[in-house]
Amino acid sequence: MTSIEVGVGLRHAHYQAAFEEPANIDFVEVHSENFYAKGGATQALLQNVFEQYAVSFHGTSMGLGSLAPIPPQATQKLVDLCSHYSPKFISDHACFNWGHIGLGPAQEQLVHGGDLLPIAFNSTSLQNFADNVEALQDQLKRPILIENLSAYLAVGDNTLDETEFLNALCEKTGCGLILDINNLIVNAHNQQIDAQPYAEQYIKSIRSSAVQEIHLAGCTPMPIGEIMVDDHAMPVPDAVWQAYSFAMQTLGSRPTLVEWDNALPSWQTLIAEADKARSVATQALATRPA
Amino acid sequence: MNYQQQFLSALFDQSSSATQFDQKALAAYQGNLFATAARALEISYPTLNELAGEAFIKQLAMDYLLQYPFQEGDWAEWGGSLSDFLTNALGNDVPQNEHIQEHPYFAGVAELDWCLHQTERGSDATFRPETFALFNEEDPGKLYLDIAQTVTVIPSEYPIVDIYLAHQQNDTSQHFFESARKKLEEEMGQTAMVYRPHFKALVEPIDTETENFLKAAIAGENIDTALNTTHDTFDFQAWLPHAVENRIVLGVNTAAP
Repeated sequence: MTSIEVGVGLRHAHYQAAFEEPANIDFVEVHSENFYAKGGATQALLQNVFEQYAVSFHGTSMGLGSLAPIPPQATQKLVDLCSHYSPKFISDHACFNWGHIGLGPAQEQLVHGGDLLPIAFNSTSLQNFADNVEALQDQLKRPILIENLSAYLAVGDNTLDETEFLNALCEKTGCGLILDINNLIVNAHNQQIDAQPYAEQYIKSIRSSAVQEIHLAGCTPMPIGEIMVDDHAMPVPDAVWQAYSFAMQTLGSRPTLVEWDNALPSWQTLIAEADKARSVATQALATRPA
Repeated sequence: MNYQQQFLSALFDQSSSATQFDQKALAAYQGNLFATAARALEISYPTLNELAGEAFIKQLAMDYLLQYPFQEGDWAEWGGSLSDFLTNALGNDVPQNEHIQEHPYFAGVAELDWCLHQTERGSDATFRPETFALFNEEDPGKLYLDIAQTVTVIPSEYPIVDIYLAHQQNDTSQHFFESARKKLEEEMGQTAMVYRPHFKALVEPIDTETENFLKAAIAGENIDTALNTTHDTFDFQAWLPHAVENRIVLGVNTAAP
């Protein structure tokens, strides 16, 4: 039987429970930025987490798709963090954050958008993204993973499909991918297209060997025509489970992580979601064509 | 401007609806940005948040973000000039600053909150107890105290320490609430000393004698010179064990650090 690695996003409210009630999970993911402090309690805590679990660093702020230069101090913080630990994966998103703009009477300045902002899919943005990924990988001395984005609108000139863009990025840089299945469902909702056919086509189009991790999450449902925000505030919905099962059958076993960032449930409920992921994956893998 | 600059400009523009971007989608991004900014201030400024309330912090985060945009890539590092922003708002007599003008101590409280926040994120100190043997081997007055880099002295014309302690969840908060109220009525200020014995940053009020001594020691003066800034009321012999126990003093040196 094919095995499956399952993990959960470890957030502040669950630290104590994660130590006191060790769960049947294979890894946890923490947000890199939460551990950028030079010292203090968070560093001691992270040390303890590494002693008990395999840990991935997932970033939300690097903005590797930014056309503006990424400040060296931003990448250096991640490099410093990674120099002290051996994370299972290091990842960020297919987005931009940084840009030079003028605010009020102030001269143009480099600002961070504070969110995962959508990028255009074309040859110019691809080369720019690839250059930034390569520079970061050179500093880290290891490949990173890039996660497909939930976007609330399209920006710029798009001449490539998203999967074409990500496949080419992996080919150019040697980076891997996190396939976030909830992001596919969110994008389908916001584009007002059928979620399952969209997700299945996406999964079939993505370069299988590049997908090294899968993310599952749930977000607050919205009526058609209203923007669905990827708030990670709900259990994984049926549509995501269905697409996840398809991904397991299509791609094969991949480390899978359940993310829950807002309106956090109990640690036990979160672990139950991870157990369900293991169960869904096991069933899907059992029926996977040889 | 490229499309990313156009999008960022639209994101930070609260006044105009004339944009090429879908308004609902843009509003979703704006909502996330300003909610994250408010959450960042709530975490970095817990006392101010308790004092001023959620609605005030939300509006403050928006006003502050538009003047001091997020540039750090780490929300825990954003907001360091909030105290100055509040001080400037005091002198800017516009209706939206009314709440700040009614509470002129907000800026001092914010300065203390930020200091505590940064202190807890600072590098861990190295305690060198073996160096205290130098007190028996050298002229003590000629030695230099190794004051932890996390130690900060914050003078204020408001009772910022009592206000901070009044907002801690413990049995003494009511006592400090009354004390803060009395000092505000009597226009009495306090000087705060922030330090970090272990992981949690602590604060205590210090008198002028201790403030002078500590400032001189931090500036790199030897013990004799630092004591010359004080009068007879400063009891170095009593102060030192407390300072060592709480990792305010990490060791002693024969030369200036």
